[in-house]
This record gives sequence, C-alpha cells and structure tokens, in this order.
Amino acid sequence: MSIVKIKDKMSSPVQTIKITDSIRDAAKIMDAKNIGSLLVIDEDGRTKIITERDVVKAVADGKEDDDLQAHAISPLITISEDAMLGDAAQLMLSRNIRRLAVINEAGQISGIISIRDITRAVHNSFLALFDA
Amino acid sequence: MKSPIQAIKSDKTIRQAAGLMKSNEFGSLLVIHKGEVGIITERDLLYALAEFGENTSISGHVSMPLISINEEESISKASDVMIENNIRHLGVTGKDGKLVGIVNMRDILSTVEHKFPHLFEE
Repeated sequence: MSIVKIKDKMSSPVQTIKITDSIRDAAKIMDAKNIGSLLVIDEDGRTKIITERDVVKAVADGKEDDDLQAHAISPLITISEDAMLGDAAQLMLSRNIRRLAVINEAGQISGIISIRDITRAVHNSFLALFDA
Repeated sequence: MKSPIQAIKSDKTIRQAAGLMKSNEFGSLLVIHKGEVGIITERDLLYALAEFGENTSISGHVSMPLISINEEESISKASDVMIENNIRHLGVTGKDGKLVGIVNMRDILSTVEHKFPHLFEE
C-alpha cells in the first residue's frame, strides 16, 4: 500500500488576485477558471484567501464592489505537501473550511487542496479495495 | 444531513438568495420553480454574479431537477453520485420518496473520516 500525499491531489499552480481588486473581480476570475477560491496578495506581499463563501456573504450585504481588504481571510490555514489526505480532511472538518493552502519544503505555497479533491481521492481509494 | 431545508422562490434575486444562504449558514437552498424542486448553490451564485450581476433573478441559475438519493443508500453511493455529477449537494428522500434533507460533501467526508480512516491510505 503506497501512501497518497497531498501533493498528488492538490490543484497547482494557484490563482491569485490583488487585494485592491473587488469582490466582483474575484467572482469573475473564479467563474472563468472554474474554481472556488483565490489567493489574495496584499500590499505588503502577505497572502490571504477569498472563497466563494466569502463572495456570497459580501453579496448578501451589498458589498460586491468593495475591494478585498475586509473580505479576504487570513491567516491561511496550511498543510505540508507531504502530509496525508487524512490530515487534510481532519483539518478541514475541525476548522469548518473546504480548502487548505499547500506548503512545499521551501515554505512556499505550491497549491490548494479542496474538500472535493479529497472526497474524490478517498472514493477512488474505496473502489481500489475491490480491484486488489 | 441538513434537515429541514430552507427554500426560496425562483423569482428572487441573486442578492436575496445570498442573504438567505448567509443567514442559514448553509451552502445551498432549495428552489421552487414552476412547481418543481431544484437547488441553487454558492457556486451558482458566484457565477451568476460574475456573468449577470446581483440583481438578476435566480431562475436561470437553478439546477433542475434536484439530484437525490434515498436515505437508505450508503455513504459510498452518495459519494459516487456527487463525483459522477461533479456536485457537492444531494437531496435525500425518505421511504415515501419525499425530500427529507440535503447531504453535502462535508457530511460524507466527516463520516468517512470517523468510520473508515483506512480509506485515506491507498
């Protein structure tokens, strides 16, 4: 049995947006790329995240033309590339989030892993039990 | 599974649906459209905002019919239907075929994580 690691299942490279861009801009990029989150780079080069859930909350409050300053989330919840899928699942469930930033050995963000990536991998793993 | 489920009429706007999702703290709403039941999710609202704006009606962005599974089916089957259809929410029907709740991908992962941790190894 080989262990499936986060780096085998993450999405990479990550899509980014500037913190001075709007919620609506973020929605347009997510729409065009068919993804549910973007990393947000602030003026000091720090990284935050904006997800589809944050966009929906902003729209509910009539703030879709706000910049991302008040809506992007930090600190990022991260996990190592070499961690196992079960670790990512536990972290998502305990933090009530659907995405984690993935960090490589150099400490850089190398990808995003989503609850969909994990469910798909676990499902394939389940099917593999019958092929063994 | 989430039950009962919040529903919204299909003539409401993207903003109104976003408001209901936010207050309900759930990523989808049932939509009643021409007497049928569909679903609208956060992802649908995001795309509708990007392409049509916040004041557009949700009616063109509803997934119909709602893809459902019977409550007696396995978690594996629910996971299978979600992956096959590339969706994160499924309607759950009772013995009489009536809708009783919504199960989402978090519910699936939570169950697997608790009951079948070995599935995280391949």
